[in-house]
Amino acid sequence: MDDNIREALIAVFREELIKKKTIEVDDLGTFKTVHIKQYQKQDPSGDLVLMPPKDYILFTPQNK
Amino acid sequence: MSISQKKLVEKIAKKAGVEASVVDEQLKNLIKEATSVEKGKPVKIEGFGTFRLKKGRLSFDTDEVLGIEINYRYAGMTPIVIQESAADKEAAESEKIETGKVTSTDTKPASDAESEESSTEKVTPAEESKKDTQAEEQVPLDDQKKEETKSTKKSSEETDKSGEGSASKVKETEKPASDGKKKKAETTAASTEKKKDEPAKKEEKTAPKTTPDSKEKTSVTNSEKKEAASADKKKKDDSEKSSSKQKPKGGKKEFKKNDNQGLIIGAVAIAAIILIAFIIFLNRNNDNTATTPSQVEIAQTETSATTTEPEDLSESQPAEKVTSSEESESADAETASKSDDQNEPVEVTETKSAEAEATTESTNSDLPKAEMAEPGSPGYGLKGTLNPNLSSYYSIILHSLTSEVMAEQQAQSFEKKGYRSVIDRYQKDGKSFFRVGVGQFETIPNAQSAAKELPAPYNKEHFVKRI
Repeated sequence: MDDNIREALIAVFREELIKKKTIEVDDLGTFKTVHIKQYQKQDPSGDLVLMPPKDYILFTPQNK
Repeated sequence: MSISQKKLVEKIAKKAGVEASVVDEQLKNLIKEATSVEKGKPVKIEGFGTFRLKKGRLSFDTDEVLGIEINYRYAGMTPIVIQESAADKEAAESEKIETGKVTSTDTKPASDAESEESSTEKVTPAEESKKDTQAEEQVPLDDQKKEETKSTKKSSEETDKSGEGSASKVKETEKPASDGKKKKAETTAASTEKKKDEPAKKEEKTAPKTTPDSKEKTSVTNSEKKEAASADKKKKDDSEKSSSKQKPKGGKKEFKKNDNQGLIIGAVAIAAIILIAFIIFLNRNNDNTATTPSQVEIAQTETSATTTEPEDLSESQPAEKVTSSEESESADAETASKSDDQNEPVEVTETKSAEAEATTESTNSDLPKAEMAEPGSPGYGLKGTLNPNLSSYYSIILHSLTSEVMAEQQAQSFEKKGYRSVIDRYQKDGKSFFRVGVGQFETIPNAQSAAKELPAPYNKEHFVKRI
């Protein structure tokens, strides 16, 4: 894949995923953004820690 | 909302400036490559992610940079310790208890026993709040006990001075349910003890000479002495009462003085708050008209930047806050804890930097003059002239302003200091905002390292954004 097209692909993916849109790629799967709200957890030292919110890309492969 | 492959190809073709058929062909090749991944041989697409087989199923690990860019809203947020571990708390409480012991041992051994008991109790996180309340409840009780012990001490001292008569009262208070027989025995013992000049505490127990039983048994001469003693007693009691009445009055005066002091302090504090609020209000007005938008406005604009049309988005691409002070990070996280993902910490720091601009304007002359050209990346750098040939790059955003004129002035001031200054325009709700940034960088790490070289407060209050 050309660098130019690869960079454009990454840019388009980034833009669309930031807008919380799902990208469907035939024969590959879907990419979508999943949001994790802030939450509390206990770290190994026993401290109660507030974790910041986070988005991550969830890829679901297409069933063949 | 979802995007089909057809739309995706169109957008990529438009972005890359090539025909859709070319993009479609290359995308199919990419899909083939990704789906043909074998176990232990992941397929990595630079800047995008890695396809690999996990448990016989195709999985995708996002590239670190892409992950950061997607999370640009939460840039700078770090985990905050909201409650320390139980062991730390136990240590802190034990310290407190030790200090409490030192103060309390002199006056009240009973409360010491209570504190020792409480110190031996194990503290669990769930019980901490209860313990706090219990401790609060114990304080007044202890105070009461202190007062009681003080009063008894005072009375004992007085009995030392006044002798037998006043001691009887002390005994009455201590042993109200004592029998007459006991009193008799005590009085006889007391009469012998007096002669031996024993300590005052023992004399307190010899008090009930004035009781009716003792009067019957004692001689006439003794009764005369008692009458004289009772007369003295009355006088001393009167003096005690008068003194006891005077004491609270003095205390009230002290309280009044304290109240007055509190009122004065409160009034001063309120005046200071009003002044600060007024100054902030004035600054905000100035910022809105001249230099910086308000925090709310900026936050709104940032949210709009993510929800506007794709063309706008391409301009307002994801930004990453590279480095920030711990204070700003904690503040960001706190704002996040209040409003989750609605507020945007990046912009908060941005306003901070904008507000700090006025105060640090003079320090800007101290900007480093060393060239920050990155090795192996011609055309990019922090200093020098702006390279118009770069279609996409990262820049360190230092200000966000509502006035284009002010933004240009700011950019010019950076240019004079040798920086490549960039103005990034975006719109929100019909309002235009102008972000002033410095430098052109190929990658986020390059921008991060360059941002560290910036003078304060810019080295901590900034964020990196794709232009």
